[in-house]
Amino acid sequence: MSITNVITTQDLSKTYTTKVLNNINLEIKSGEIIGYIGPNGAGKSTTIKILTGIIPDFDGDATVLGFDIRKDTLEIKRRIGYIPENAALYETLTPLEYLHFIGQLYSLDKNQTETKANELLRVFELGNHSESRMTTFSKGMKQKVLLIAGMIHNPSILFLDEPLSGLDANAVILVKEILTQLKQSGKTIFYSSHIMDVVEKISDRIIIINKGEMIANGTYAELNSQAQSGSLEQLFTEITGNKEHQSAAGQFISILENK
Amino acid sequence: MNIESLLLKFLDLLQGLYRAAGVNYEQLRAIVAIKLTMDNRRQVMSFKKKENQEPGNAFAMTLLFYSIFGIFVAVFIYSIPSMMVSMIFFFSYIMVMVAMTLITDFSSILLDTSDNTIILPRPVDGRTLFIARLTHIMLYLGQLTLGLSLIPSILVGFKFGGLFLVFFLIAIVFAVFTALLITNATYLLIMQFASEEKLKNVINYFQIIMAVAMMGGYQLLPRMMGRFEVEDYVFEIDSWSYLIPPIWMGGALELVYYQLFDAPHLILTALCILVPLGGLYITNQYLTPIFNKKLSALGGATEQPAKTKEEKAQKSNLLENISFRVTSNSFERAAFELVYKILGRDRKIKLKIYPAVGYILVFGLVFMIRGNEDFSTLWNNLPNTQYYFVLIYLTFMISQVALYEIPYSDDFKASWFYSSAPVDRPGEILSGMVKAIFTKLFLPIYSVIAALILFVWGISALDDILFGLFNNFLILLIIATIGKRILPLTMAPSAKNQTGNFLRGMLMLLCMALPGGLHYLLSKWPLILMSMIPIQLGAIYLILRSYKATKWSSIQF
Repeated sequence: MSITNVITTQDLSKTYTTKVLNNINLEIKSGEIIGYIGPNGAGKSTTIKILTGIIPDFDGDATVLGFDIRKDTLEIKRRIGYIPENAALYETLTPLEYLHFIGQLYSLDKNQTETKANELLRVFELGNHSESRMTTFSKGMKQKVLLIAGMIHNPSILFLDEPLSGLDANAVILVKEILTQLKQSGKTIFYSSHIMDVVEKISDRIIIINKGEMIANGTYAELNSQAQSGSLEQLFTEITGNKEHQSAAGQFISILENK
Repeated sequence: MNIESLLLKFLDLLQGLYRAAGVNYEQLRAIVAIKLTMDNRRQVMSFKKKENQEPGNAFAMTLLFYSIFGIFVAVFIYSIPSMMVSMIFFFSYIMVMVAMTLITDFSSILLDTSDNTIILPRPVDGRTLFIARLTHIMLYLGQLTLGLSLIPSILVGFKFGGLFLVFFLIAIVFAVFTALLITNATYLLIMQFASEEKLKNVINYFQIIMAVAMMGGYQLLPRMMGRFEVEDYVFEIDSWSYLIPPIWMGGALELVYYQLFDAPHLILTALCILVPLGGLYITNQYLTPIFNKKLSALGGATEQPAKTKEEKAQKSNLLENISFRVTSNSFERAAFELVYKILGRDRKIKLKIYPAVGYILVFGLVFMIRGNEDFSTLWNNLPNTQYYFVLIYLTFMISQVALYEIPYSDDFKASWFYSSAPVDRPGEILSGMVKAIFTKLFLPIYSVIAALILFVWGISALDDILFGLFNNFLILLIIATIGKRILPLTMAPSAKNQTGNFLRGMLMLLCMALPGGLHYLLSKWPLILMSMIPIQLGAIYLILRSYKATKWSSIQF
């Protein structure tokens, strides 16, 4: 069976005490880069955690690579990569030890993992730190290890939740280039970020989510023609209804000065 | 071969069992191995050794430490003629130690949410992850149990024979499993009804109670031991016996040794075997999915209802009222309110300081219990003693512990604002800190102690209570003044320096003894005592003024 849609969701919803996701319907094709954006608390991370099988309780249906998320969670996890928002690592380990451990969880060959990990660390300029414990690493260094850990098993789909936080300018450019080349090699990338500039440049399609609901879905050109905006930032502001930045900033300054 | 590989080799022997339970053994082994490595590194850090050094003999040290404990237990159980009583004592000890270790040392591991983002997104099924966590804990508990039961097992083998020893060892394994299952089930039950925050609070208070119980047990048990005639004690199985796990083990061993196949012994033996085995089956089949589901929700959205605006307003009004009355400017007020709130909220700080409240109780009893008088005689004679002096000055313990601990915090990096804010006289922050300790911790406990003193010694002790109150604040100020001047929450806990503490400690003891001694001398003349209070207040004012004037150059960073 040829799979055209690698990710599908039907009325995907999630409720904690309040509803954080409300009837999200997605259809994502193989090889697409999806920019998944929204304000804080919009439901981006929750969507990603459901699609990666981390949150098992949800309403609606979802499939990844043709597998039902509820029934075939492990099959999906074998084929996807996930890079979380916070640099969650076992910091008392060295990057090599950590990556070796991750490799074991994917049943990768020990020697191959080690060679691959060493080379990937070198590309990210961490070659000299491969045997140092990560307790002393900066946020950016940890984020690089996290990026490698999410991709070391060469997944078909990559879920990235704010992958650029803490990275320096050179690393951001490198990650952008890696994502573009991954797409060219047929990988699907589901990319959630606040950095509009990057989303605008690399995404084939942009999905905007606000208060748990999908409010826009299309290419940058399509969305832009609807909203008549100059940049994704302006488009985002218009669509999410937060147009009052200028007046909010004015209020902020006047409160400061009155004090 | 280091201990890690030894433990993993031991696991390899059991891999058939794991696979039969539906576990991916390779993944389980990898998870357990990485957790053992991290444990070792955490131990190294806490012993302040060189970063990359592995503690080769950590296992041997642990074993030795627990074996020393085991010697006392062994001697005690050996001296009890009743086999059933000695077994109940031993298994209570083992199970309490296991449960305590689980709660105090392993709560963070059992409820660790970092696995949610590191392991949960990988192709590891929930059962493998949960059993890996349990295995990791069991390996540690195995070391603990081995240490605790090594010497007792030798003595049991010597006293009751080799065959009995085999059953004894099996019963130990069952006892450990039972303690583990009971603790797990309790956690699950709490998680079912409480939020993550509430669960952490419950564990925190439990840890505090355990710290006090350990100290209390250590101080009080030997004193109370002589009051009971253990030698003559004979245990009879009652209806409530079936509810207490150590009695199951004792009953089962009594059945084996004396061949007692009556109904009570058969029931106890059945419970001893079936509860841990059935519990393991239920854990694997039913509890694991619930636990994993709950665990994946930890660290997510909090489902705790927020406090109402009125509740918040009431609390903050009370604090503002107090801080406005006891502080003189905004820096001092800021420090007072910060320390006041932290003392009530920060779990790690509470864990370090609050056991002192229990110690006051324990030492209060320790100093009271002397000779072989029974409790009622002691209590009746109390009004004829001047024991209230001990109570008045024991309360100081809480202030002293708080003063020692409050400069240290894991979040010490959050103290950047001290450097960036225009603080001219950091002494004001120090005085706010001391006042918060006195108000938040000392005064409530002293009020309870004062009520107790008034109840036992009557209104005539009021002058001593008042003089003692000001004396306690005076002593706190003197100790703060001669001690290291560190702003609250600014130092990493690892920066605690033990050197030079002996001289400082002696000086502090002197500072406590002088005002306390003066109080004792003057207590015979209540009028003189009361007339000394203005002098006390004057001294407090002068010392506080000098303390407030502390400059940046005297502050340790």
